[in-house]
Amino acid sequence: MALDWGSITADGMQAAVDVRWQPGHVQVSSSAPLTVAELDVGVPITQISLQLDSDLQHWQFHDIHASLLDGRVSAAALDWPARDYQPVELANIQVAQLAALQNKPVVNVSGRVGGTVPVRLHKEALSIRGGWLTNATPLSLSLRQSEGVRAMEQANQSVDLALDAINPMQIKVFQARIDMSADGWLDAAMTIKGRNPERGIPVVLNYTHQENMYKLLRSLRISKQIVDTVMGDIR
Amino acid sequence: MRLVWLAALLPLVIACSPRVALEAPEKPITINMNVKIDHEIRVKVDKEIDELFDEDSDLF
Repeated sequence: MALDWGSITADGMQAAVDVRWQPGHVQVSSSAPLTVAELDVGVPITQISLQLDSDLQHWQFHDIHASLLDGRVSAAALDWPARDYQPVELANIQVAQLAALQNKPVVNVSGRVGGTVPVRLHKEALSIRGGWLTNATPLSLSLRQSEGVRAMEQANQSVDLALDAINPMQIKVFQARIDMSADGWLDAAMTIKGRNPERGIPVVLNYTHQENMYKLLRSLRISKQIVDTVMGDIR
Repeated sequence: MRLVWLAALLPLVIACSPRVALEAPEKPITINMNVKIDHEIRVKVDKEIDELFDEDSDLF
């Protein structure tokens, strides 16, 4: 089974559910794990497996497991719509794939991160409060010689010196705190401690990043759809 | 006598070779960076592809 909500698509969906009906009340429960081969929200989430219970007003998902950015995502339970924040565990996420989400990536990064992201599913939105990520392996970072980096280097001398200090960087400690409001604005604050191996200098980079994730994911979906439509028509 | 003094000082002069040591600072360089990204979705297409989009108006 395949579904398409706007530009969010789900492929390879399999479900076995029990439906119990009484006057004025319907209860739906999965009798076996519901599986989705791929959910594309702009970033592919694959191998999704979960159990569900619902009265068609409130949905309770539990035993949730999926693959994301070459790592794993899991949650004991998620309610929709939810009143509280519920923890989602991320493990072994590949930061190279995370950085590649940017339209014009300015950095090359490698290594893996993991952590816990408390998520609240609103009726038509999602928010995050007090999420944290740390590195699961040593990370590395270098700047790409892109238009964006050149523009930053030329902006002023202190920026040029700062970029020079972190290019390249071997990272021993990575800590990130993540919040996202229901309108999609991500607010991430990172502390990155490492060393520039070429200059032999220890570096501490305090980095904050604000970006609207809904707009980022939407632009990724549009790009993919344009390519698929054009290629489909050419064939 | 002067020659004796010079001869006595010579090993000291030879032993005193100049040394310049460049050592990386032990205190880390701290960099604070704040980035805010605003997305503007702008699609620029060639005429042929524009016609293709007209046929598939559900795309956006």
